[in-house]
Amino acid sequence: MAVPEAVTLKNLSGSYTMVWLKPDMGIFLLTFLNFVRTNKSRTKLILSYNSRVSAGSSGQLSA
Amino acid sequence: MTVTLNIKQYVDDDGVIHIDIEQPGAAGIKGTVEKRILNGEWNEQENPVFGTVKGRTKWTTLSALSDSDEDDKFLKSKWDQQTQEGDVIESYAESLNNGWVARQVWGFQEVNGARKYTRNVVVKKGSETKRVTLHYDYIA
Repeated sequence: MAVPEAVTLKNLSGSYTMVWLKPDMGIFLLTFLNFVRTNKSRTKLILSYNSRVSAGSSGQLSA
Repeated sequence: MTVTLNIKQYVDDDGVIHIDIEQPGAAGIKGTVEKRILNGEWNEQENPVFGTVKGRTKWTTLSALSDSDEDDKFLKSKWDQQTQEGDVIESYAESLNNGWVARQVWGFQEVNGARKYTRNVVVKKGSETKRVTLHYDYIA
């Protein structure tokens, strides 16, 4: 859903959901997370992703 | 995986804008809470995913960014008319235990004819640079 014109940077309150514009967005986010996450974190991110999913579908990112 | 942001924006007694952003955990990744204070002053926060992060957030304009620096050119790219003509939010953050620095500009971009809340993000770690644009739909 588009952000209403009444919502501006001076009034951002609300809930939003990330837009997956391309099928490989999950892979990109995983790469990005691994780039910035703390070395102390024990979380090991494993991506289970079907490369055939269409844009707008979700990949599965699991720990 | 659905990535959701719950944003609460308010003004404190000194007239300073605060933006509290809760990102609930999903698919085994811990949830996070970012607390942004738009006064340009440094503050430090502990984040379960990103570690200890020192950062500051301020109002600026796109014209304040360089036209020659490649990172600045990315940060100021693709904004809608309203964002280009008004103030934007710029955030700078540096990891105190993982060696990266990040800059973000927040505003609105038009994607397939729809207005989206957007963050242009540049992260540097050593000699590596990653640039990403994150778009968000409005739920309520």
